Amino acid sequence: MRAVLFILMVLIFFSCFEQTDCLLNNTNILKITLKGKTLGKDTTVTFISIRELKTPDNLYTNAPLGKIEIPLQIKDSITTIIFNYNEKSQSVSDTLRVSYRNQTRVISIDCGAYLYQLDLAVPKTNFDKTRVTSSVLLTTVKSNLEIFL
Amino acid sequence: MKYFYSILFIVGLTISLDAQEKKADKGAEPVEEKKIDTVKVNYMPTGVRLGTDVLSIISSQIGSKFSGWEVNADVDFYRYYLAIDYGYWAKQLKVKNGDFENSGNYFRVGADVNFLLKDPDRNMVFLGYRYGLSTFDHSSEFLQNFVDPLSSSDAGVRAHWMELTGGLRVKIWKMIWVGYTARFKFVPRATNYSRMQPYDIPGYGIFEKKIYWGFNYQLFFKIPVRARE
Repeated sequence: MRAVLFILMVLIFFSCFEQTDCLLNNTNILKITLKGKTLGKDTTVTFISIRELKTPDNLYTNAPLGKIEIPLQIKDSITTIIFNYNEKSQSVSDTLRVSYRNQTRVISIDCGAYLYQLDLAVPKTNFDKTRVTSSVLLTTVKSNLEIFL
Repeated sequence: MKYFYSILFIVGLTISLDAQEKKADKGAEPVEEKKIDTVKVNYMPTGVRLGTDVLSIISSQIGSKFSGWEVNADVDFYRYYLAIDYGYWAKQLKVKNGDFENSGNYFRVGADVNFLLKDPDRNMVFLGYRYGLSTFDHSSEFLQNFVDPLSSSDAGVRAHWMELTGGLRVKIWKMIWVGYTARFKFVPRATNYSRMQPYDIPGYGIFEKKIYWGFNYQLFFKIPVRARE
């Protein structure tokens, strides 16, 4: 009986010291997929430029894109992106403003603390139609937002 | 695997206590059993036991990571005890890329069942349950991806959980009692947070761990309210 109790105590002791897995999947990269307005299928558009409002440099220049990755401002809860492209031989400038909630998660003492972006939404845009497909920014998510052009 | 150990412990403890009960029953004469059945059980409390967790006090003194205290009280109603705990818990931890802090109070209420019925001093080997509540503040300063300095905090975060408890209470001298309580904590829930997900909940422990163990070594002082029969 004493031996059984001793073994139980040892098992309990070690079960208390189990380490949390250090699985990090946070990212501040917003993944956008472009969709055709009529058929809703993946499409490609050549953008003259894409830039984030608070950043002077363009993120993309003269690039044919089907998927766009935009780094969100992690110290703000809003990021505004300006898209310049040609539509029917006319230069068009569309704005996309996305809002989100920054939340810190301490994974463990050994892994550290990381910021996650949750509750992604589009409060303002010139695009005819947009759709949030995943409201949490994670490395494992393929697309967060669809823009119909 | 940790769930297996936890379940094994609870089952082991229950079987052990149940076996003691059965052994005691088998040893008694049938005539005596009849007598016990006819005796009216008195549910009037014999006293209020007030105590504190010695481990919390020691932990607060020997390190800078934790400071806290816990007071405990229970009242007997025959073999059943109403138990209340109240405590304070603050932690300052170094995480890999920054610091984490929390502080807050917690409260537990529940009941214990004593399995030592025939002990003249009413020493206890008990099993019980608790409902725990906690209100706390937490904050963290860290380098996001080891580059950008960031900070987050929330005030007035609330959490609640359940506990299965087991342990001992032993009278050592007059009104002085000692004992320990092992706590099997589970289903933590947290509300009223936005900027930071709870990491460590005062009174519970690591929020991400849906099963968590706790242990108190307690010193009690019993205030008698009536003489025992």
